[in-house]
Amino acid sequence: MKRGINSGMILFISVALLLFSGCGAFGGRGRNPEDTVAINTNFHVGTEGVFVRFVDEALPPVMYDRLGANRDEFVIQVELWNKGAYDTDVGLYLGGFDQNIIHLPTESAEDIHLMGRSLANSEGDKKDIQFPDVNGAYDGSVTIPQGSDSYRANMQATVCYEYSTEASPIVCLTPDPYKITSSQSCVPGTITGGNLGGQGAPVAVSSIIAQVIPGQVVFKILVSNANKGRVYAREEAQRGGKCPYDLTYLDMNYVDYEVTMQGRTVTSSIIPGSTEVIPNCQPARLRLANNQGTIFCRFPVDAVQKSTYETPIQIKLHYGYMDSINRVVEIKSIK
Amino acid sequence: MNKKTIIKIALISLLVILSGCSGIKLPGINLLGRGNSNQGVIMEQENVCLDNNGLDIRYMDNMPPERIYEDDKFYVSLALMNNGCRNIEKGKFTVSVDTDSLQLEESPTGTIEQDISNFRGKSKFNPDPELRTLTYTVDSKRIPQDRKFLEKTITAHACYEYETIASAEICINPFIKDMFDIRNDVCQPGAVTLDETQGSPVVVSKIITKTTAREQGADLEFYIFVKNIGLGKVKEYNEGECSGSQLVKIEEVRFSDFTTAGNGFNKIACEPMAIKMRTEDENYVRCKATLLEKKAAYTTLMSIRLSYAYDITNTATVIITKPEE
Repeated sequence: MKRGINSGMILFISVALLLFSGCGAFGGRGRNPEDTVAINTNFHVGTEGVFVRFVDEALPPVMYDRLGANRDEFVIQVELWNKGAYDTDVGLYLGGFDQNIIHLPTESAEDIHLMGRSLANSEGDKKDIQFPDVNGAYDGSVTIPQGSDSYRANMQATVCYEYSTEASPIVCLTPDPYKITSSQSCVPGTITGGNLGGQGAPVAVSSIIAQVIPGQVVFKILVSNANKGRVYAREEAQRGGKCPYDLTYLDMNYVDYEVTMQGRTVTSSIIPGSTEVIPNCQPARLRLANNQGTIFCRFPVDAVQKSTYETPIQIKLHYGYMDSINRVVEIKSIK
Repeated sequence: MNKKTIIKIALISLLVILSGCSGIKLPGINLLGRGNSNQGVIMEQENVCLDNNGLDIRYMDNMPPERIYEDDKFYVSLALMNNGCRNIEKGKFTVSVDTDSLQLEESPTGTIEQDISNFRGKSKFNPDPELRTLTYTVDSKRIPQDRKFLEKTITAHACYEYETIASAEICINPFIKDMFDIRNDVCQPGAVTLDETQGSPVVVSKIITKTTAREQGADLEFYIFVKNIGLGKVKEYNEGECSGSQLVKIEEVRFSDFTTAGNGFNKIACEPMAIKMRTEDENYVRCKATLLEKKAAYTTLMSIRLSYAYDITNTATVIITKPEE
């Protein structure tokens, strides 16, 4: 009887262990914060725009140049994911390989529109783009030239897109900076981090320093490229623009802006405006150096207000953004 | 706990381990069949083109013997192996002796010529070299009375047409150097040193790529360095004879859809189309091509086919002595 119970127990434990040891066991659903935390409604966070990656499963590190029905076909799948908070059209380009060896197109044939994160689309649009596409002229076949045993292609996927950044922090203003009162509701100064009102874009407003002088406020707005891509003039981001291969140094690092406070908007311009007129911002068009740049804006302070007060300032940045990823694939000839 | 229970627990534990997600993976083998494994297991092929001598001429052991008596008969046996990776389409082999002291039975002139055309080289599918053995009967003549022995040379010589096919990864980048790292180019043109295991005595040792960017496209220059690393000499093959000029002909240079055989836009122009080997057995040729459009930098394979005649000699020494009294 005792022996029977022991055998039964062992059988039960083993079945239970087998069940638990399957895929995902001991790390089941509900353990990841993403599974359990309520849907995040703040989409203007993070420093990502369009995230790009090669889909691993579609691109093994080594392929073989085989003929006939069993030949390997080069299929590249690139995942694009708009992780930022703005909608955009994306140009996707493939490079780094010889089209005479790997018969793939170098540009996505389809127009790629990706919605950014929003209440209706909390993740942002995600799209897998496949090369070659079904209707294209390229078949993905691989031909290693005679006399060569292998070919190592450094596949590069590049995305070009126009993107925006919005920051809308509350700034503290005072009509008379020399007047010290005991009951100031706020103190003008530096705004950084979470107080900048979230952004959800690769170029960020990293800080705003407000300095009040009688009758006006001067904002020093620090802008930085917070991701690994390159910033360029937004007019080159359109299809047919210079991105990616025709961009030169003269196109790089330009950021257009609009700064609005109390119904007054200053927009960047290629032609410098007068510095005497208030409001105004300098430089007329921002150019980042070492991925950073500063906009100085002067706005009049509302003289009707008698004490310190808080008001929102809205900063919109517009730019082209280019990012690329690489993957080395080796093709070996077995002919 | 008795022994049986321990065995049961051990077996169950083993099952539990094996039933895990990733299974046990050995290189190239997927034991549990999970994951994407449509590649199967492909055996890596080893490089069979390691030898750089092309045709190898060797005397068989004791043929000829080191010492022979005058008025005697002996054999000279030679093994010819095409150790390279190219076929010998045309070639001539000669064996010669000094007729003052030795006599080839089949040739009163002291020289026998043999055709060694269609001599197969090594390949992936046939990695063993083709072997041809040639045996000659030689008679030794009487040596002068006043000499105790004579030292004589038997010369085996081959002259044959051979090819070199080399391939290297080069970088084609039609842009000026991206000083500001704008495009994140995958490669930059420069010098590429080639592995000398090309299965031929003459090798392409280095390729230097230079680019001059133009508004549309770019001008490309390639400096192709050729070196003789075999035991013989480069010659020119004329009607079965290896002549004096050490010329390596450029049969074809090719990359992407550019070739020396091309016309117009895809032409590679090499000047001259033959490289004269200098005394140090190395020289280079400059080739040019023009890219008509700008496209992303890429790596590609440049293949180069050279042809030349190769001249190799191997000698054996025999000592002819008088019979011992």
